[in-house]
Amino acid sequence: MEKVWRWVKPFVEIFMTVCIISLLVALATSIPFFRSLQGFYLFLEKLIQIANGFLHMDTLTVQIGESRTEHFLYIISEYYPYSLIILFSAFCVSFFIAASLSYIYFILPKKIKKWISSLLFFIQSIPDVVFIFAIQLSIIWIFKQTGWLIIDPIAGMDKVYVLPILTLSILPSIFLFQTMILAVSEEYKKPYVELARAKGLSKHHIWFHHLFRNVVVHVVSNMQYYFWFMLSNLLVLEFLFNMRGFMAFLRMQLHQADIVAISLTFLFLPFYLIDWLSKRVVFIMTGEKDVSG
Amino acid sequence: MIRLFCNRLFLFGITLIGGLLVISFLYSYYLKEIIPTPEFMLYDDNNRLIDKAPYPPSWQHPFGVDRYGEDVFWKVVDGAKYTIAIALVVSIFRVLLGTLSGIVYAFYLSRFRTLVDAVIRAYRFIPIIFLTLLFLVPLQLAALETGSGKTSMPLQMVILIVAALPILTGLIGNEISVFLKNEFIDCSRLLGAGNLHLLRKHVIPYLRPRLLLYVVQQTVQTLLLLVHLGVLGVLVGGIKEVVKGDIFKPEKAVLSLSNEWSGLIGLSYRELMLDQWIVLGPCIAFSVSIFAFNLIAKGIEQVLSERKYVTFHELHSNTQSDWNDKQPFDFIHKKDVRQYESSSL
Repeated sequence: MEKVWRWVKPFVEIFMTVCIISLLVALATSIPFFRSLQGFYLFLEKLIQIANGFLHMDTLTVQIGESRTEHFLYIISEYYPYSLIILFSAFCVSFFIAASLSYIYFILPKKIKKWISSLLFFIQSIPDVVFIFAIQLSIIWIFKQTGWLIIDPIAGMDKVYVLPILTLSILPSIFLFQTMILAVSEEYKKPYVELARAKGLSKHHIWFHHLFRNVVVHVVSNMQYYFWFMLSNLLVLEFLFNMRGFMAFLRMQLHQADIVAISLTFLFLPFYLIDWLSKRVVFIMTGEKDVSG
Repeated sequence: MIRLFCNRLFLFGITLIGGLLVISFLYSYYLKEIIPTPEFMLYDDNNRLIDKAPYPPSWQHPFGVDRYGEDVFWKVVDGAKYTIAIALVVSIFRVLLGTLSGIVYAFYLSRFRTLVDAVIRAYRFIPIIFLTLLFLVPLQLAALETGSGKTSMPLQMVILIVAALPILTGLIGNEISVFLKNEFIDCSRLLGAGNLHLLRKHVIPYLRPRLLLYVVQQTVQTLLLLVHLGVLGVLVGGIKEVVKGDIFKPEKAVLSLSNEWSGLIGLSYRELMLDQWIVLGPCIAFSVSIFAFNLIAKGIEQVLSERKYVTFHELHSNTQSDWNDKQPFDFIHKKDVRQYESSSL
């Protein structure tokens, strides 16, 4: 029974979450009419529309712009991978930056450490929007001064990758860095590090062979929070960079209850998978049920 | 509470916010009449037109002057009270309701945990900015259709509050359920304490100092949310559409009814490529106030961690006392340690 439940549970959870998402979307699209009973009927109507959408996903069409109508699945296949690629590569970049920064931090003297952490504390307070403005403006400024356009700051018809990925990875890499530093300083007090140091192993060796692996576990167990944070930023990023991504598409379709609900489900599924996988990985790596507590 | 005010970070943060608020109120009641509005057009000595608003930042106008001939700096100062008040009210209600529902979640809903977790998960995977957008955009459209443009502010605030509630409930609920696993809680239960007693004597005293921290953290979250909403053109407090410019080239612009910062950001974004400095003011204002609130949060954290809660494990891992009755000892086969030290150096 226990074993069956373990395999059925994810599906039950997914089903329930999708139901909640649908309810929310139906409520949101009918909220201005809730002054009278009409709002309630509209709410039910929207729910039925969403359910229909889920059942007949292959025939669902989306209107884009004034005159273009496309199949929903085709649109998804166009926008969805693009946004996911941006998101995941931004995460990888920020993980890489955070890991290398925390290694440098680890070998630095104490005085500079304090300096860096207070600097990061300040940078952390700056909203990501400001970073985007600053990057766009500075690229334009360089262009005006030298006539050299490094990267086109605003996407046209083609897809841009480098700039959005870099911009999206700034704040997560700071957060990741701080998590890593915290985890390192916690790990550093543990007896196995003390033993390794007593054996005369170098700082470098301890970092790569012992500390880093254990720190990764911390990061993996908190991965979903970073993605949640990055998703919020992605929406604004796609708007400001004029990207033709999934979130920008969703923003244009806010009034279409069925499309919003299905798209949100699409957004939810990979992250549920990541969440589930990260829990499994942490379990296999450490044998602990849940590190984050 | 007194210890909080001895903390440097907390004090600095709260003076920043307090100062901003005081100047903001002073401005709208008192300074507004005194400070001269910038000239819409600038003439030189020969009465020739040399410049027209918007002007770039200068010593006179630190954040520049916008297209409509208003000083951005004073606009930002004027907006401070609205923005900070919105953020504070939203976060206080979030934490209050979140604590209540967190208590219910930890004490009574343990049987329905799969259901409650499904709700929390649904919220956790939809970015909060998208969730608020989903609710606020239809409201704003409906308001524009009726012509007034005034969306009911309480309703918007309720949406901002509720959007974060499930996650906060999960957070606080989990903290309470971890706290309830302490051994003294078991003892208390064995002695016949009911849920209400536990709540009054243990949980609330434990949570009380943390609530302030949550409020400050939520304020930062709300401010960030307001920035994003502002960029996407959804303004709390309603918008009005006005037609500016001359008759031949009418220009439709959306204006914030108050000088609320997110409104300032969103409305000036269109002008980013033309007059870069207009967006500068509200951006700096947001960064500074988020920084101040972060400082306050860090100060509270420091004060909280200074307070020593000795847990059961800490009490018993301290085995120093067991050694007190042992006699001092010495090794029998000793080598000269100094010899090793010098060789290793």
